[in-house]
Amino acid sequence: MTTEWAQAVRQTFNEWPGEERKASKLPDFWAWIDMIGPFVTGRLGLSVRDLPPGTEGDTLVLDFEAGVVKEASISERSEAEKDASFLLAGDYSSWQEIIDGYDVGKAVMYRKLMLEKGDTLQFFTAAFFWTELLAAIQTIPVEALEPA
Amino acid sequence: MTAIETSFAHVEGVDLSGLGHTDIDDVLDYVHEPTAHLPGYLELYDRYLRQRWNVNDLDFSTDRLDWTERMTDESRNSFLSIASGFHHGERQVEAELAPLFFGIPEDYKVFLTSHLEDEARHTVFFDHFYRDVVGIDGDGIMDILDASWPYIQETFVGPFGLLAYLTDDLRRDPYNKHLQMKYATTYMIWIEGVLALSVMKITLNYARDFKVLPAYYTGFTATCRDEARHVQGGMRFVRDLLAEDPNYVTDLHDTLRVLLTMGAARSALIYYEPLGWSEERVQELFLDQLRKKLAMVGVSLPADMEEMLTMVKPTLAGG
Repeated sequence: MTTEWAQAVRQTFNEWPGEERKASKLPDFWAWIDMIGPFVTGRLGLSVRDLPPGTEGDTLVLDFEAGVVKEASISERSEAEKDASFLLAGDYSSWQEIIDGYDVGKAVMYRKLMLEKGDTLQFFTAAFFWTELLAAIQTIPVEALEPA
Repeated sequence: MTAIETSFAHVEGVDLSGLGHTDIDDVLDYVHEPTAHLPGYLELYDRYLRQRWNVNDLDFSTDRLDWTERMTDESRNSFLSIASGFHHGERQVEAELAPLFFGIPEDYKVFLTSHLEDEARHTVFFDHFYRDVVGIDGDGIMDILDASWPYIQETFVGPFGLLAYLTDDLRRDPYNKHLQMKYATTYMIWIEGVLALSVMKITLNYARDFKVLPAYYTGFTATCRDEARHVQGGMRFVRDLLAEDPNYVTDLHDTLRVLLTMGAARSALIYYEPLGWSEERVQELFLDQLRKKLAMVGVSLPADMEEMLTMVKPTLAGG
């Protein structure tokens, strides 16, 4: 994880969805995202449990304000978790699968990602907002690390 | 004995082959029959012992012919869009049940062993259907699930992802009754009581009215009778929690509010018309099922949630 990648996540999600993505779902779906977005304010951490060495930290920190990513950074989980409303965590191999295009709905259902901080009901109030965030992250190129 | 009592007695006692000639609407009515006196857990377990069926007794060869020669592309696609939600739903409710065992009454623990076995059998039922009728090949259960995944709606992850994460919460804190209520609202009221029973009615009415897929009709009608026990056991559990402390209704409402919020989203259209349904009828069916479950546990909805009901779009899945 690098600061550059975190900024790419911020920019990509704030411009999400592109025309192609938008056309792949009903307008109803995007209307739902637009309805929920204004209620999404606070910090989300996306953490890798066993990240090999060689990055700036094991957690992507996204600070949302009314559905917009205002700040994006890389941090260690212990730091990121303190002020996070929600923290989703998964093993490095699971994150690799997700980055490679594994279905984000399955990633939640099969617990490749687990909610390790935050209220479950609150999190699911914005369920499809979060799955779209994961889908946006999947579009950003990354380099694989050598296992520790 | 009245006509309704005769019908319920038939549903209660008929064997697997007899279920193949039993009207699905009678089985769905049977779910709600004992509203005033929900059966005890051991009574439900006794029913399980008498009503248990063997998934290997079903012969799908006629279904295969119907699928390939009598059904249209449109009806096959619509059918898969709906049945696949159930295929995955059955797997989910099987895999997510275990943490509930720890913190519930002893009699419910006994019944829940049968509930778990039912869900595993239902998962295998769908596995057989997709292999023998739809024609999907694969080595294990997950291969077939992966193959049917593209047919389900993206919004499936709403209720079923919530169930997975609430299961984790309950695994960490199994005696927490607020969590038990949130879990039971998601699993027993919404997924089993609303989504599942609605999907059963749509696909089974289709098979009945168009006289196709007899083994599917038989097995899924038997599944519906199994679900009747699960829903009745779940409603008893919810009702008992509320009797213990009426404040748990806040957990029920909070959970239902999230489910209804997610239920207002849909990513793709499902064409019900080839199966003889319309979206409006499906939505009415959902709301009717929800109101019946809430009546069984003696809960009403606050005004804001009544308004949310009008926005819910059908997510066709179950378990």
